[in-house]
Amino acid sequence: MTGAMKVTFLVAAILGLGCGGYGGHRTAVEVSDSLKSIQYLAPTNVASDFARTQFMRADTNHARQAVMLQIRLLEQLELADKSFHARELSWAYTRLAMVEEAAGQTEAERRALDQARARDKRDRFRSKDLTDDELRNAVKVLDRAFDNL
Amino acid sequence: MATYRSRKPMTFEVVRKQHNEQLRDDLLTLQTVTFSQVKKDAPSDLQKAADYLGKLRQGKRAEPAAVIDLQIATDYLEIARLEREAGNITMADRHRQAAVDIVRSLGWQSVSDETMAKLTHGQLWWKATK
Repeated sequence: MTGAMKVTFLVAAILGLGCGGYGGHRTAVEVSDSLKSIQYLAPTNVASDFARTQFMRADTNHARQAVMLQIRLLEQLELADKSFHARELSWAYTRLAMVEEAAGQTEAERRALDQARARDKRDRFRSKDLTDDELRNAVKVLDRAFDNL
Repeated sequence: MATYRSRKPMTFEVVRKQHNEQLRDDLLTLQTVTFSQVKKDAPSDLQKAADYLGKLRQGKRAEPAAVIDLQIATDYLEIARLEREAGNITMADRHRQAAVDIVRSLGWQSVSDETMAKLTHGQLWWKATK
């Protein structure tokens, strides 16, 4: 075997080990994060169900209180534990916007819709922003499905 | 050599270490509400669960207390359904009324039979899939 071949094999082996090690480490970190964040599944689901139910059934003040509980919980959890990703936040902000719309609070509605759009784009890797109506419709479809269980 | 280390159950340790007591308390409260939804198939079990949640509710902030209230109302409605099936109409009416009073306090605008029935649909569906 020539010296050039030896060097080639050595470089290939180092590259293979490096890439494999890096890929394995990333996968392990992702699995570890998923396992850690499982503990948040039950409480966040209860908060989500409560917000959805109150949004569909209650008056404006109670609905706002329920949606805000979910939003605060998800935001605080994301800050507290990097393994947790609050993928439902865009729907929660959209519900808040719809509550504010019903209450005639145009500025608060606009702010919540902007937050919903920003979260949706970040969480779902969209190339374009959803419109206000698309955000509202997505929540309506979700809620209708839940209501018809 | 393979080793085994026992681990404590996951009880939001990351949040505890940050001394974020309110967040941890909310998480534990909501987790308890979830656990209370499991394994309740008799009126006496449901009543016990509702009583326990009533005690848990004491001293809680308004927001988590409202979540507990809705679960208690759901339990009462389920008791009412089971009592009606067993022919105990008075008990059924009493528990349904208790559930109605709770959801009215939570700002519900309609307490029709259809709306109230949907409150328990989610849990019944969830149990049916287990």
